[in-house]
Formats: sequence, C-alpha cells, structure tokens
Amino acid sequence: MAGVSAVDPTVESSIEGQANARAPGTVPGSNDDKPGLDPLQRRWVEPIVSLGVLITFLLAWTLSSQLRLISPLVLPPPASIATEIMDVVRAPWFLGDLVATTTETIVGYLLAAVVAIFLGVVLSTFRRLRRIVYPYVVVFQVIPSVALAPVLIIWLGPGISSKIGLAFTISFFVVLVNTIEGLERVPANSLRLMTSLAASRRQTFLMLSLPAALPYVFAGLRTSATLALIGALVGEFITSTAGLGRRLVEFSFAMKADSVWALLVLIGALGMVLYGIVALIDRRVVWWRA
Amino acid sequence: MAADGNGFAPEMTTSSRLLSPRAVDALLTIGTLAGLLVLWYWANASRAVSSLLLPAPLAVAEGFITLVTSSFFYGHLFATAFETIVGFALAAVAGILLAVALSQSRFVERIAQPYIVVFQVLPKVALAPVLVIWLGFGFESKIALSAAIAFFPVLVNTMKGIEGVPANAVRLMRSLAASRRQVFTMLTVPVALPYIFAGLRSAATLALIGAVVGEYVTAREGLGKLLVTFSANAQQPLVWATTAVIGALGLLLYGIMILISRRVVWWRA
Repeated sequence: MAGVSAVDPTVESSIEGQANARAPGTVPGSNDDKPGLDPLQRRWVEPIVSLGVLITFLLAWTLSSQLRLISPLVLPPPASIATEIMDVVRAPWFLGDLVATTTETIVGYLLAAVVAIFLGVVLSTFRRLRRIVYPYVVVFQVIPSVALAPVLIIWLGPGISSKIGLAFTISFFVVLVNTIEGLERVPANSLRLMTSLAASRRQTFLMLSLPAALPYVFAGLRTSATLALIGALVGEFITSTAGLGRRLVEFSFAMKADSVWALLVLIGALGMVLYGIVALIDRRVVWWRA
Repeated sequence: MAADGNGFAPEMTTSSRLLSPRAVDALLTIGTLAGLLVLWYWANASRAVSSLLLPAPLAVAEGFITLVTSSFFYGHLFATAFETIVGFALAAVAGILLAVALSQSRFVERIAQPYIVVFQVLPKVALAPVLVIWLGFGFESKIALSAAIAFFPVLVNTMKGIEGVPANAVRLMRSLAASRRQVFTMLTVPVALPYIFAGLRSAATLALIGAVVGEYVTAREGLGKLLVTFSANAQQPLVWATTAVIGALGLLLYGIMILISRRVVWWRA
C-alpha cells in the first residue's frame, strides 16, 4: 500500500490539480520497514486478528440485540439481516432492480470514461483550448453534481436514462481532471528526448504520454466507479420506476428495518464488486505500478 | 503547468502585442461563457428548445430574483449550510483524530486497513434512508450523512500524510534527542498537513453532497428539499435557480477551503 500511494493520485489528492499527495522528498522506497513483525507473521497474524475483530464485533452486536440494548427497529441483529438477505435475493423483484441499478451505473460509468478520456486527450493536445476551458472544468468538478438530479429527471424522464445521466455527470469530471493531470505530468526531459530522437507526435503519445498518464487515468477511473453507483442511487431516491435505491427508500418508509439492512449490505456488495473489477483491470493495464 | 515551470514549454514568445497571451485566454474563457448564454437565449427565443426543458436565461434570472427575495429562501439556505458545515467539521475532527490514533501503531493500522478500504468504497449515500429512521426528519440525519460521506477522504489522506514522513528525518530527530511529541509537532504535522488539506478540500464538497442528498430523501427544510419541491411542481425557472444556488454554495465552501489551506500550508504554493 505504501508503495502504491506514491504514484496513486486519488480524487482526494488530485481534485485541484496539484500534486498534493506527493510532497517532495517522500519517496516510498525511503520508507524502511519498521522492526516488529517479520513477513511470515505479517502474512498470518494480521488477517487473523482482522477477522477476530470482525467476529468480536458481530458477537457484541448480537449480544446487545438480545439484551435489547438496541431496538431491532434501529438495528436488527446480524442473524436476522443474514436471513433477510437470502429472502431479498430470492424475491421476484430483486433481479429486476439489481439489473436496473447495475445497468445505470455501468452505462453511465462507461460513457463518462470514454468521453472524459477522449476530451482529456483533446484538451491536453491543444494547450490553448485547455487554458480557455479549464476554469469551467474546475468549477464543474467542485459543484455538487447531485444537485443536477432533478434537472436530469426533467430532461430524461423518470426512467433509466436520467439515472444514467446522473451516474455520467458524477463520474465524468474526476476522470477528465485526472486524464489532463496525468498527461500534464509527462516529464519535460522525456518529451525533449523523444523530440530529439525524431519521434512523431503519434509515437510520443503512444510510447510516452499515454503510459505516463495511465496511472492517473486509472486512479480517476477507480474513484468514479464508486461515484457512478452513488449517482444511480441518488437518482433512484428522487424518482424512478425501478432500482435498488428506490426499493431502499420504500422499505425504510415502511419501517422494514431487516429489509433495509439487507439491501444496504447488497448495495455495498455491488459497490465492492464494481470497484473490484476496475481495480483488477487497473492492475492488469498499469502493471508496472504494482 | 508543470512543463511551463521548466521554462521549456513552447510558449508564444513573439507577442509584444496589446494583451499578454494570458489576458487573451482569460477573455476567451469569458467569451465562451457569453457565447453559451447567447446560444441559450437564441435556443429559447427560436423555440428550438422547449422552455419546459430549459427555461430562457431571463426566466431563470427572474426565478433567481424571486427566490432570493422570498421570505422562505434564507431558512432553507441556512439549513443546508448549517448541515454541511457541522457535518464537515465532525468529519474533519473525527477523521484526523482517528488517523493520528491509528498511526501510533503499525500493527493496529494494518488491522484496520481492510475495514477502511471496504468502508471507503461503499456508497455512503445508501445510508440516507437508514439515517432518517435513526435520527428523524430533522437536520440531524443530514449532518450524519454529510459527516459519513466527508469522513473517509480526511481519514485516508491524513493516514497517507503521516505515512509519508521520511524515516530518515524521524531518525535524525531521534538522534537529536527529540521527544515523541516534538517529532510529532515539528515533523509529522508539517509533512502531513498538505495531505490533510487535500482531504479537507474534497471533504468540503462531499459534505454538501451529503446534506443535499439527505434532504432529497426526506427533510423539513433545506435547498435539496426546495429543489425537489420545485421540480415536482414543474417550476422550471426556480429549479434552475436553486441548482445554481447549490452550485454557488459548493464553490464558496471550496473557495474558503482553498483560502484557508493557502494560509496554513503556505509552503505548498
């Protein structure tokens, strides 16, 4: 993790376009491993303790539910959430809602990724254009895109398209800014070297700029994978015809705490899966970072 | 920008004209906005776009004035701003404190790591309906959502910042007989601060998102509630005006954060 973070511009650090996360002089390699656990212990002890913490937590939760310290309306015990998850998964509506939310997220995400990367490349190729447009990019990145949800619903209707629109809007700017940042950070000396070796623009782009920018692009893509799901859910909260977000609001107004928590776990799992897929692709494509 | 700093970027050096290239770019930036406004105006005037989809610029401006001069607006604005700021403050304090506590022991940090990763990736907005059950329809549930969303960037960035302290510098301080406290205040804090502020900046935007989403789900007051109400009543100019207000609020909060971080982390600039 420590090694990754140095070349890993997350949104948190790249949101404003400064190399925030990489203060000068914090080369990861200089971080020597502190004495303490040897690698073998690390491999076994830590996961076991981690798991132990989880089990203890679940036991304490179950116990406090049984002692009625927590009302089941507020937080049902883990066992009843687990059984409810099975029921929810088997329910006839579940698959439709899952497909709706997943489609919204993935379509919005992919559209955002393609358009943002393309626009990022265009903007950093034409520096003049970039300088003219960049203020708007910064402004739109900072503006909370969820505020556009009602407008998008007016434009695209209560169906699936408005949620795709929101998932798109929410994930677009992160990828765009990261792409521009990544292309901007290509070392000037390498560019000079390529020029002096008579590389064409195309060669410079494919052999230098693109590989140099990819870690940034993928950092943006990872963040926006989570954001796209948020966009789909928020859109469904407001008005929708289907989707897990709508179901969640319904259940919570009906005070079905078990079902609400079961859905929360499932939505969380969906988020993890989507993020995991992007992280896997990231590792494959940007293998030199790991 | 990075390339410009090296003095090698192929800038136009021939321009000894009236305006510097920078000023020309700024004018073009403003010109783009003006062009868009004209296009928008024309699209409505020629009925190319229905005013239901996109009300005319003047209608939106009128809606904005109606909104700003109305008696109810400031209560809603205040509610959202209050929820955002309190949520942000809670997230900032909790995030920084937890990160400092975790960084005291590498072992504890490693144990906590998987949980932090999992919770960071989870879509926190899904908690909105649950928080309403727990904390009611009032501002408490929005503060909680706002804090839950803004918390992780602060936590993760602070941890990264503390991790980024060079081990050699720690060794140097130790060899100069610095106490743990001195190492913390004189080395760790200055090294971590730029990271922390990067986290706080994105947390400011996220806190507003949390408040607005919370208000979408259910609320007594707030800009998010106002927006949903206007939209349900098909009052398009007011919908656009409110959206603009939320955007401006986001920009304002972010701007304040940048100002503060320039002051505190002045050596970054």
